[in-house]
Amino acid sequence: MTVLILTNPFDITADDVILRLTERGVPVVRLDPADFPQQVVLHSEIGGNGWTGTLTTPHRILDLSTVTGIWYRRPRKFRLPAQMSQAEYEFAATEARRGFGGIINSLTGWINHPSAIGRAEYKPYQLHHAVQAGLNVPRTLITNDPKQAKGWCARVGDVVYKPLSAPSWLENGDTYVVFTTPITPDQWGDPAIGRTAHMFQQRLDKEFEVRLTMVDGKAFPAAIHAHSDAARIDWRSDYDALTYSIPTVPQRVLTGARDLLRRLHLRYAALDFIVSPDGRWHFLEVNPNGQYGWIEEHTGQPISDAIADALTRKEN
Amino acid sequence: MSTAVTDAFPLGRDENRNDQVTEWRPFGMRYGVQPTPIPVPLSDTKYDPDQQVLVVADGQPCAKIERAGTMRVTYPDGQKPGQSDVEKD
Repeated sequence: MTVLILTNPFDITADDVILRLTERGVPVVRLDPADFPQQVVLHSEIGGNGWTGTLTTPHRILDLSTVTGIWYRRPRKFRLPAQMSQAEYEFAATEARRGFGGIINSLTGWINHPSAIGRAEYKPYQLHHAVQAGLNVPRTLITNDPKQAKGWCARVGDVVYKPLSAPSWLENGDTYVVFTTPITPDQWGDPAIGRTAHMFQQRLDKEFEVRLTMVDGKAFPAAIHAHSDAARIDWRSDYDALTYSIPTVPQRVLTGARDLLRRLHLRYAALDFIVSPDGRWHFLEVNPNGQYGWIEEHTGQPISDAIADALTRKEN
Repeated sequence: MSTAVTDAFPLGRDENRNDQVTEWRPFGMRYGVQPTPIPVPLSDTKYDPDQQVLVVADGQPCAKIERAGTMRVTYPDGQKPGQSDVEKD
């Protein structure tokens, strides 16, 4: 049994799990795809049992046939020689992706398989399955039609804009991100809505929000209490204004969350909910590779241990 | 690493795009704000290939000192982190 962890060398969240696995006597190989092909050597051959062979790092040799658990954490892109031309770089990167990525994809025991992460990161896709799983989903519109957006917002009344991804961009040397943003009636039909897909959602009154971390069906709920105006709109915008507690998750929500993850083929995920003053839980989104370390720190729930357990459990 | 979905919807950057704000700015970008990253004091840390974790000068793992979710903003090797490394997504 060997656990393969795909992440960068500076991922302290992964460090914690690696230390726990090591304490349990479980062999671990930490590998950053950025080290392929310059520091990692792949040698694999197909046979009657599929792909076998080795991945050799400067410090370890991984026998692919021994891998029983793989954690896709925060791997970086392949790093190729800077001397390559653009054409050479693109050829090498694509071949590395298909070769290294293809072999790795063939292994089993993923938390989570990168294809599942890729699919689940599409918010319309996850909202579709959340509805199918019986979770309450706020009224939501995705459009690039300003006129339709204006009409929908007028019918809903209190509306927020939410990006469909987790966009970040660089302008004039500064990094920008977009959080959930309330919009006012004068913005509802803005022509700039026509320039790409935009998502609008009914704004809900909040008693508190919940980050529900799930690992192989185990639930680690954390109520997030916001104590500033910015944090009340989007808790990501003001971490210093947050406090945490452990709420009781209604059975219907728990069942829906498990069903959602089954539909999305995710063994790990961080789900976000709003709990309204009437006690109803409203599903906002699922983060298939969301951070959990700070939740563990604030609530004391053993999430790292659960991940270590999952990585040493043979996938069904 | 690749995913079928990403392959199906390539988002490659077109050539000849500049980095200046234009009148074609999408609605959602108007609400861009600068995130407040939570840096970790990693100046005296290094990666220990034996333990396979980041350690401080005396060899103690950083994970025993600093908790997760507090990633540095720029990696020592110059690569840039994604938003998920800066924010507690």
